[in-house]
Amino acid sequence: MNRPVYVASYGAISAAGISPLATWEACEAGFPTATNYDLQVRRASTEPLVLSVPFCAADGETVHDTIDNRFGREARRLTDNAKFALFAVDSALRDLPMLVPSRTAVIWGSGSSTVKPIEQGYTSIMLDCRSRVSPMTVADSMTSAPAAAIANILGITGPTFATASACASSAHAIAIAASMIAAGVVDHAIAGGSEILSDPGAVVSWNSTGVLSKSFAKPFMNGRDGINLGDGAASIILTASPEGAIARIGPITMSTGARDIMAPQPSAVLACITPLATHQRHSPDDPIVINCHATGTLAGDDVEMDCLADLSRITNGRVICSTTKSITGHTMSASGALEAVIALMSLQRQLVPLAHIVENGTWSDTKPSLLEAKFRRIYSSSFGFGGMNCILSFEAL
Amino acid sequence: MDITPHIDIERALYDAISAESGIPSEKLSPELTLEELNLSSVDTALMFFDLEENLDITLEPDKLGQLSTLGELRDYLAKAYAAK
Repeated sequence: MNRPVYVASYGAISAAGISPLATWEACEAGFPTATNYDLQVRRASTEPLVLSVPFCAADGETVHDTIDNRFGREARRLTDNAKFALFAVDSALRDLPMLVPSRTAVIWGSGSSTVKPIEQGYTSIMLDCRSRVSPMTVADSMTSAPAAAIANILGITGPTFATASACASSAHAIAIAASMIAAGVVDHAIAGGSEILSDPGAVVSWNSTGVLSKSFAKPFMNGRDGINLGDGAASIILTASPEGAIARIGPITMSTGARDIMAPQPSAVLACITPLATHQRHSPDDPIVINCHATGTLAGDDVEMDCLADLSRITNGRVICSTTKSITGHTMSASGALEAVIALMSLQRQLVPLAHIVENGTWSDTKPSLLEAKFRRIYSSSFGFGGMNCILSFEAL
Repeated sequence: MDITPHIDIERALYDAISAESGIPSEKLSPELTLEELNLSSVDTALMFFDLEENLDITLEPDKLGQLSTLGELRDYLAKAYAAK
């Protein structure tokens, strides 16, 4: 079986707001959402650790209140990460007919947020001198905990598991979910990802990698100096039914660098991007439109921009590159799904936010802008640490 | 002079059950069995965690498995509390 797969709905939380529309409007306006995350850790024998980094924080309080009121006691015990996941899914399901629980999959991208319960447990023993940690520590820290929370709270009984490929986790989740529907394993799927990085452990750890920007992230721009971290969650509801659908899943490409755990491998990124040249386009004049991974790092963006320039040369045409991490921050395992949602909204509106253009190998030397364009397919690319890459695409109906 | 604070073990037990399961404490009685409460695994784990924290005791899983009613559990908690 290889049947078409459709997008029925989507949900999103980002620093711009707790709805897809809020995120879209911020992307359309092009104003960064980052504010400062300030950290001061007092230590016994040394100077305090003081850190202040730009950060795209989401409105966790509203998410918590909504989930607690809507789902009661079981939901109140969930971690922040699982609540974000549940919120992104629940808001996407509200206007849809009931899914058949046994024919629905939950495939959820998971990153580093699930280690937080272990960090809290360790802190309570080592710093607060307590003798025990919560018995939920193990269950809450499982990579699959958000996927399990979605299935358990919503009563889904089909296949449920997590995907983990760093920044590409939720793109892989959507890709696997679509493949399972195409193959007839299930009829519906809840796919996406969630990440809470507004946490001292996460901020200190990311600061040590040296990739954090000192100001606002400027993906694909001259003068860029790194990424902004962000909290976020996003879901895509996939189905085999075209009734009421928003878009159809198009070609998906994947590749792996297999050489370096942190540095992007040009050959692997190219291996993921160049197949786009062979995908049939509506007309030769159609631009290729991509919501790019575009984090804002010097090395990562360089590799991606070189590969996109190659793509424009191969296709002898225009590639329009949307760079929305300057608005949402890099939400890591949620970013693939969050940018897939932005890509879907772009397709629905025929607008490309924060767009750069590369044509026949040459980049337009301008600031990103909101572009109107006619296109029937949009891509969304994710390139994860470890060289794990995935490009999704969505087609107008 | 005895300076040990007075702890109502039964009240502590009912509070922990009520907090984690949502069952009102006035519906709890010593004759009720743990099985009758129909607690989930999470309810149970968190209830015992609360009791360990609040009473500052360490519970032994093999002993807990032998207890049936809330009265038996209360007596076990009282012994563990007195022995600490």
